Amino acid sequence: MSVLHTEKDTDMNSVWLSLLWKEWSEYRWKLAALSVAILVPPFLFTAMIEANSLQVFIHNLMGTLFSYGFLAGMFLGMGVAARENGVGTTGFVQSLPIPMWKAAAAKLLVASVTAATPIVLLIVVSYGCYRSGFIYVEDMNHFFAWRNVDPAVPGAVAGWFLSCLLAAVFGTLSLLWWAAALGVNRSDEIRAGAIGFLGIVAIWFCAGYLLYLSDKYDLRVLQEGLELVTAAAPAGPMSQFNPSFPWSYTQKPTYMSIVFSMIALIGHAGVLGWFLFRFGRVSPKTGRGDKLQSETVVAGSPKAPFKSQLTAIAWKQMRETGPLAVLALPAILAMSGLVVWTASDEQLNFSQIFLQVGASMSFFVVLVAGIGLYLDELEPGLNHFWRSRPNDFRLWFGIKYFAGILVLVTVLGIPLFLAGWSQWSDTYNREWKELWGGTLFGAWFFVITYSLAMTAQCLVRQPIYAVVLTLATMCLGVFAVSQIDVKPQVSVTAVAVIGMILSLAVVIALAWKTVKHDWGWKQ
Amino acid sequence: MGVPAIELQSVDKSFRKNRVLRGLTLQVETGRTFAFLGRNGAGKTTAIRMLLGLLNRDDGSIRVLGLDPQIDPIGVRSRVGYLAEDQTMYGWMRCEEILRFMAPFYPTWDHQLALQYARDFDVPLATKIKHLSKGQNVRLGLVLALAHRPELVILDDPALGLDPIMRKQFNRDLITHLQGEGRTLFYSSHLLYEVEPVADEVAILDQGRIVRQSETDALRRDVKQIVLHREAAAVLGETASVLHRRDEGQESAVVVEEAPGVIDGLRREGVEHRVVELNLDEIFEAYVTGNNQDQEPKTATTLRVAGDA
Repeated sequence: MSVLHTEKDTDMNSVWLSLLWKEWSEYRWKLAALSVAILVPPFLFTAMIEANSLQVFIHNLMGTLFSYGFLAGMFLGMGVAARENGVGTTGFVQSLPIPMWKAAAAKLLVASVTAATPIVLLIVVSYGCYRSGFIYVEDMNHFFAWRNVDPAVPGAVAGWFLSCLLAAVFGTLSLLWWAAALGVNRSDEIRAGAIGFLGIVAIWFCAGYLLYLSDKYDLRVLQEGLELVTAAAPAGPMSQFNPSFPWSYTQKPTYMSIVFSMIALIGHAGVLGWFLFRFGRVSPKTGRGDKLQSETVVAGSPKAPFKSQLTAIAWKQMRETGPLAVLALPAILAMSGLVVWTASDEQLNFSQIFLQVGASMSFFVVLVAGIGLYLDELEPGLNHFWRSRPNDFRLWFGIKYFAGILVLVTVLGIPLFLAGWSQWSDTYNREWKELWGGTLFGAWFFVITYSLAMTAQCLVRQPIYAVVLTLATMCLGVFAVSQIDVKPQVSVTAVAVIGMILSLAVVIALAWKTVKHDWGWKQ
Repeated sequence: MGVPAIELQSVDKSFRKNRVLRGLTLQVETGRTFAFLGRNGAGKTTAIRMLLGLLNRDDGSIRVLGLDPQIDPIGVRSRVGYLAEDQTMYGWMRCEEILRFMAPFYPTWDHQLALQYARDFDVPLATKIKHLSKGQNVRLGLVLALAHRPELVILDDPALGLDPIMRKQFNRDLITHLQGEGRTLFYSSHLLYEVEPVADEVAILDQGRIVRQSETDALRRDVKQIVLHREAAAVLGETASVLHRRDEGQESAVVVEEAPGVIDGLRREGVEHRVVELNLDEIFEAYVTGNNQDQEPKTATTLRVAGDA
C-alpha cells in the first residue's frame, strides 16, 4: 500500500465525512465568533442599565435574538450561496467525483449548525441564570401576563424559553436557507446577499401588504389563508413558536398548527431542493472567452478614456455600490411609500412600524455596502493589481469611500429622511430641534455603520467576521457611552457632536492605515 | 552608458524567519531583454514586487530607472509596464472599460495605442473580463502594461497557464515586438527553453541569491557537460568549478563552469573526455539542482512511492 494512506486518512474514508470535515474547518471559527457575539450583548446591556431584573434581561434577550437571527441568517446564507464562487474554488468542487448536491448539503448543514448553536447556547445560559437566581426575578406575573404565561404553572417559564429557542432557531434557519437559495451561484457574497435580501424583503412586503388589506377590509378567510402561507415565507416558521404572534400554536387550534407546520415543511423543502439542485451549476470564472473572439470590436466609436483619476475611481465605485443600492431601492421606496401612505391611516399605526423596518433594512444594506467596499479589492489577485498601478492612494481611498456613501445616502438616506420628516410633521408638538437632532444622529449612525463595516472587513477580510466585529464594536461603543458621566455645566450636544466626529475619525483612520499598509488577516 | 534600467545591490528580504532574498545583486542595462530565472519559490516575485515598491527591502539598495521604488513608488509605476503572473483584474468591467479606467493613472497613456494593441492582440473589447480565457487575460494585461509606452516592461511569468502553442506565440511575437521597439524587458520565468531564443542576458536566482548572471551566449559557451572516467571526474572536482555531477557505471557526467579552460586543461593532460553542449534549461538545472542535491533523492522517492499507490 502507499504511504499516502495514513491513520488520519481512515477517519475520512467517506465522502460525507470529508465534506463535513472541510466545511467544519471553514465554519468552526465562525461558530466561535457568533457564539461570543450573541452571548455578550444581553448581559452587557442588562449590566449597563444597572437593573439586573428579568424584565430588562428578557427585553435584551429578545432584541439580541432578533438581530442575531436576521444578520446570522443573511450573512451565513450569502456565504453558503456564493463563497466558493467568490474565492474561485467552484471549479475545484465541480471537479470532485461527487454529485454537487452532496457538497451543497454538507455546506448547508454545517452552516445551519453554526447558525443554530449560538442560539441554543444563549437560551441555555439565560435559563440557567434565571433558575440560579443570577437575574433578579422581579414582578414576574406582570411580565409574563401579556405573554400568556403563568409562572405558577410548573414548566410554564421553561416552556416560554423553549418557545423562544424554537422561534429563533427556525426563524434563523429559514432566513439562511432562503438567502442561500435566492443568492445561489452569484459571483460573490455581496451580490448573493443583495439578491437574497431583495427577494426576502419582496416576499415580506407582499405578505405584509396583503395581510394589511385583508385585515382592513375584514376578509377573514383570506387573512387566515395568508397567515398559513406565511409559514413558508422567510423566517415564517418562527411565528408558530412565538407566543407574541396571533397565529402562534398557543393561540390557534391544533389542526391549524399542524397545517401551518406542513406548509412550513413543504415550502422550506422546496427552497432547500432549489438550492441543492442549483448549487455549483455554473461555469467557472474564466473560459468563455475563446467563444467570444468576434467581440473584439466595440459597437460604434470607442468611448474616450476618463480624464482624471478622480472620475475614474468614482465611476468604478458607483458601478460597484450602485447595483446593491439599486436593488435595495425598490424595496426601500415601497416601504417608504407605504410609510407615507399609511401615515394618514388612523386605524393602524403602520407608519412608525414601517419606518423602523426601513431603518433596519438600511442598516443591513449599509452594512453590506461597507463590507463590499474592499471585499474584492483585498483578495490577493486584485489587491496586487490595483496596488501595482501608479494610483494616488489618498484619492483611491477617499473617492471610493465617498462615492460609496454618496450612492447610499442618495438611495437610502433621503427616502428615510423623508419618511422621518413625514412622521415628525404629523406630530402635534413639533420641535425643529428634535428633527435636526434625530437627522444628525441618524446620519452619523448611517456613516459610522458603513465606516465600521469597511474597517472590519479590511481587518478580518471575511464578511461574517466583519459583521461580528462591527456589531461587537457598536455594542462596546454603546456600553462606553453609557459609562460617560457628563457634568451639568457641559453641553451634552457638544459632547455628542465631538464624540460622533471623533469616533468617525478614528474608524476611518484605522481603515486608511489598514488598506494603505495591507494589514489585516490574510488567509 | 546611461543609468541602468534596474540596479539591485545586496538586497535582503525576510518574511518573519523565512529569508527570501539574500544579498541579491543584479543590474539590467537599458534596451536589453533580461531573463530572470528561478524555480518556484526562489524569490522572483518578491524581487519584482520590491522593484515596483510593493514590498520594502530589509537591507540593500534598489534603483529602477534611477528612482528608489521605496521612496517614489508612483514615479516608478508610471514609467514601468507590469504584467503579474496570473493577473487578476476587475471581472465586472468590460475590456474596453478597463482601458478607459486605467488611462488617467498613467501620464503618458496613449489610448489610440491601447486600442491598436487590443486589436493586434485580439482582445475582445466588448467582453467582460470575467469571461476572458487565460490567453485573452494575459493579452489584455499586456495591453495595460504597454499602452503608456513604458521605458521598462516587467513581465512576471506572464505565459504561466497558457498552452504550449500560445506560449510560443507569446514569446516569438510579443517579446520580439517589444524588442523591436527598443524597450527594456525584464522577464521572469521558470521555463528556460522559452526565454532562451529571446533573452540577451540571464540571471539565475536560487534560494534568494543570484547564482549566475551572464549574457545568454556567453553562458552557453561557458557552461558545458563533460563526460569522462569516474576517477578523472573526481580529480576534476577538486580543480574546476563543478555545478553538477552524475555517475553512471565507470563514467561521470560533470557540468562545469569556465568550460573552455577546463577542456583545454583536459586536452593538455591527455584525459579522455567528450563535451556535450547544453541548452539553457540544462544549464539552469545544473545550477539549481547542484545547490539542492541533498533534497533530490528524497523527492524522487516520495514521487515513486506515491506513483506505486
